[in-house]
Amino acid sequence: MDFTNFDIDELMGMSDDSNPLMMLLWILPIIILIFYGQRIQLFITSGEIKKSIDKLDSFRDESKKELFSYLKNNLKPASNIESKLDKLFEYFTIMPVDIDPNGIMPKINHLIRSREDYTRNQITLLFSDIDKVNITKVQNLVEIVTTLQLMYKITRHLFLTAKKQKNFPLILPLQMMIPFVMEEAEALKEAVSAIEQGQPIGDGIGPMVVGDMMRNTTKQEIAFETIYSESKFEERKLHLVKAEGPYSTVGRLGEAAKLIIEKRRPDLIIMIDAALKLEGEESAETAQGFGAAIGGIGTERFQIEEIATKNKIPVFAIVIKQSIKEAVTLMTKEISEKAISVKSDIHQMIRENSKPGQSIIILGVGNTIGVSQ
Amino acid sequence: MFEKKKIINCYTVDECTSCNDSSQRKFKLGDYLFKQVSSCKSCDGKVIVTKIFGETMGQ
Repeated sequence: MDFTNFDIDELMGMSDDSNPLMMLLWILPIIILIFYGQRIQLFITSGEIKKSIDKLDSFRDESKKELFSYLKNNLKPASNIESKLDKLFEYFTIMPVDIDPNGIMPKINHLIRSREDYTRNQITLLFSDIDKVNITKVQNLVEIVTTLQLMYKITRHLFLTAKKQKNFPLILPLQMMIPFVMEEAEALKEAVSAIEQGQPIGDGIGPMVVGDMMRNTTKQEIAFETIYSESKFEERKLHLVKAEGPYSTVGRLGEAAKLIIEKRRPDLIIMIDAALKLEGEESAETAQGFGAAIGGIGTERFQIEEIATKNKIPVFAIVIKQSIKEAVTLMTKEISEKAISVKSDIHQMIRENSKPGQSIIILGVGNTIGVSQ
Repeated sequence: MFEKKKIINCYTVDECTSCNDSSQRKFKLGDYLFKQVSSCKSCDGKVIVTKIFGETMGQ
């Protein structure tokens, strides 16, 4: 068979004796794709995004149902609790104006604290008999539902706007972001069970290490929901700080560090925290570095950085790497087994960076649910 | 679509602070880290919770 003997015009249906229908068969799809290509793409992409939005909706509903059944089975709620909590889920925070960023951190701190105080007070009012552990648990569960609700509403808004405007480029950022949004939403949904049962979560590895170091020491509250104690290691004084466990709280480590530095003038700050691992990195790997290892909106980090800089105190960090899901759900065996090696890393860091007679602040950063001291 | 739902079991490890004798059991509501749970049967030391973790079934 001779494959070299073919006519390109005949093949494309362009020769004079070709069938006009064959020509149309080639040209029509090209014309359709030129004029309607974006709409077709929008149709296909929107189908996938719609599925994710429906999933987000079900995550929000499931976590809400779980919260209500937890409250009904374990606490004595007021009769109209569902409508009151529904109102609480809709609360928003307007961030301060940042055109002139000078002095913005105290404003953000004030806003966040006001919101926390308000939520705590509302929760206390909703139950006739509620202890501190349950107040912090409910506060965290309300925050989870609020975040899932916000994720659902924002994603739905972007999706519907793109569809309404029939604008394909508008849906592209959403298509790029949706896998990350879904990962976080799934992690939050699964966090509900651990919080309800008061189990330690991956983020609690910092408080776990420092809580262990605090055993057999005299403890005192240094800031709201924050515990402080003193200990000794090879002729050095250790100032140990962590959130008050086993409550579901991160405490106020920035305020605590500021107070200790002003009173005791330590020579070194060491922070232990969970950190998000990069793709490809092993879970429960540890790493050491410089700077304030503390998450959140940034106010605590700002406080620690500011006071450390003012007093020229070096800040060291030890982080335990994990995925976002591991950080907010029940602590894995691998992460819990790292506590011993992290403790010896802290000791090594103290030996290498301080002299006998000096003092060191050690901050266990993270949510201390299920981790006492 | 056909993703298997993973079952995670939660365990608690109790350890004697004197003889370091440890045992693993299923997590009970009310368990938290460093809680004193009992006295050690062999040395009468303090037994505390030293670990609480989750393990995926079949691991």
